[in-house]
Amino acid sequence: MSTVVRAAAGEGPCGSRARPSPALEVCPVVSNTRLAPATYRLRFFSPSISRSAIPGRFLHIDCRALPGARRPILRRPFSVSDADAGLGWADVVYRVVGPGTEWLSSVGPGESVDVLGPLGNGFSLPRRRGAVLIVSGGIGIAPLLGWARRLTGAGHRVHALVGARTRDSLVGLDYLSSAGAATTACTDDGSVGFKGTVCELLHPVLRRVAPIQVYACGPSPVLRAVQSAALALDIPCEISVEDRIACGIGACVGCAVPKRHPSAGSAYFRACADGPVFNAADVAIQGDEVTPS
Amino acid sequence: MTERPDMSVAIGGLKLRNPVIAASGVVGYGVEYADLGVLDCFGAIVVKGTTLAPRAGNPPPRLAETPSGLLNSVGLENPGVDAVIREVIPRIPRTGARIIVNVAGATVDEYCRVAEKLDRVDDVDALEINISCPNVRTGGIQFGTVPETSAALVEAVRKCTGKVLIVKLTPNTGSICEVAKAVEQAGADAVSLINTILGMAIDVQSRRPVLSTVFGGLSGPAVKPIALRMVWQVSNEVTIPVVGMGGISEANDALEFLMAGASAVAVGTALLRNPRAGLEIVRGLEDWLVSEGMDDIRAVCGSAKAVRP
Repeated sequence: MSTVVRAAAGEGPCGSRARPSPALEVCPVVSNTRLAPATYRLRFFSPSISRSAIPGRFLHIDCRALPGARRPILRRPFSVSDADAGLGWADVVYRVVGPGTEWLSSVGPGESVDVLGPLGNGFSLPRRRGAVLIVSGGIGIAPLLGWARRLTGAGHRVHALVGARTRDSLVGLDYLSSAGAATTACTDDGSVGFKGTVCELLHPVLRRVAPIQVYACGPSPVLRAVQSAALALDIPCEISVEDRIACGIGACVGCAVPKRHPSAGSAYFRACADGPVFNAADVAIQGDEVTPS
Repeated sequence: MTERPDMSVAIGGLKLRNPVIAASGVVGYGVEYADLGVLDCFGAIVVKGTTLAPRAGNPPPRLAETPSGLLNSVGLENPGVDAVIREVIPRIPRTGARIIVNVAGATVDEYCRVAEKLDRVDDVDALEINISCPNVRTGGIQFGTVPETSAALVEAVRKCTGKVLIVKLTPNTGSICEVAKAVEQAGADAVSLINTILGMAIDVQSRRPVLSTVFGGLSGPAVKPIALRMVWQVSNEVTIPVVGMGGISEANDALEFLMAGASAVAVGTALLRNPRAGLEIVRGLEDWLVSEGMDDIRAVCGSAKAVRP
């Protein structure tokens, strides 16, 4: 994290720094820990991947299937949750939603995963010191865990606004607190923290924290709420989008993300190569949450 | 016994060091996959469908996974032929793989102007004329489903370029053999098949089609038996070489297409999950020839037809 170059607003993707070529590597699994009933943290060993695994970049994993289940035709993209270049590990935090992630949750130490990555751009640090707000919905917490740690490590005051459906899908609060982030949690059913969504708490929290920068990852309604608030208040904001991703390296252009300011013949970014982290001012957030499998 | 078999094949006047081609679309302009070091192995790469003017492509979602298959509706997103010639082709790594550019358009004139411009680019070894894209409203597949319009297009493009012309055929027609014969007559040096099969998927939760365009092109192992049947049929009807593709994921699949009558094969969707697929197929074909005591890949072409049931 020595050099972070922020793209100027309106000029396209975030963190467009020179990126090393991704690795295509079979990596030993260090651990695969159940954090909640359907949420896991997979840690694998790869010094080369861990070196450039900035949270917000992603890892494209070849998920197999358990006996009787159908193996996915595509790899599955997972945000880098955290990584340690010194120790050579990288983490993904994921929810089991289909046969690919079902298989992944069955993998343990002594086994290995086929990883392509890190891919995409990752979050970039604020240009000056100050209070920073991170906002997540559901499994969107994944890249923000390691990012919170890096932000506090760089001397920023971090406030996290974290939402989930219920207690059973709310993960990472301990991680955030050990990273030194102040956290506001909410659940749809009120089983933990505020009863409601992060969208409802967004404006009061923004007023209270007065952040110099916002980072967000989660379903489309959360991203849309954060985007419109940040644009209205003129706060720099980076959002990580979720998309169907095929090649992962910018070749097949399957993962189109609409530009907020399209031009003739150029209406879309590629989530995989231009993102998955974008300046909120640059992208149009469409649709509901992608139903992954 | 240490001598490796001869893997080279010819597509019209174009000699390839081996018969394994990276199919159009999946590998983009080759640059991204080259960074992974997985393009060096191919006999040729076919770079993305290129049109006269830049095309933004279709709105998302453009992808849907299906049983053993993938639906896409990218819609020929590309920066236009001038930008491709100026900015993209010079960046394609020259690894010994031939460079073939996939050419698409909405009118005969558009195909011709793209072909004329590419004709002047030394680094382009051949053109693949895409008369089969299912994801654009005009052009593409509209030419490729009817023998007469296919022939008229190929005849016009033939006059614009001296480069090897491969015509990519669509399976979305009842007359693929007639189209193949018509484009051979019109001056094609080879045909490639199959492009994707028109299909769709519905998200039962939202009760909406998954793809923004409702329909898209199906590729992957799901289409392989259909592609193989069409390669068998078309290679019976034409004397020009056939490039076979559709769901090829491993060396055994490639062997099936060669035995069915293909002179070369292309790999597409398989590269998405397994970027090493090209390398594995080239090695697998070589190993198979050695294990069979054969010294020339060309002897495999059409060999399944020699045995009559």
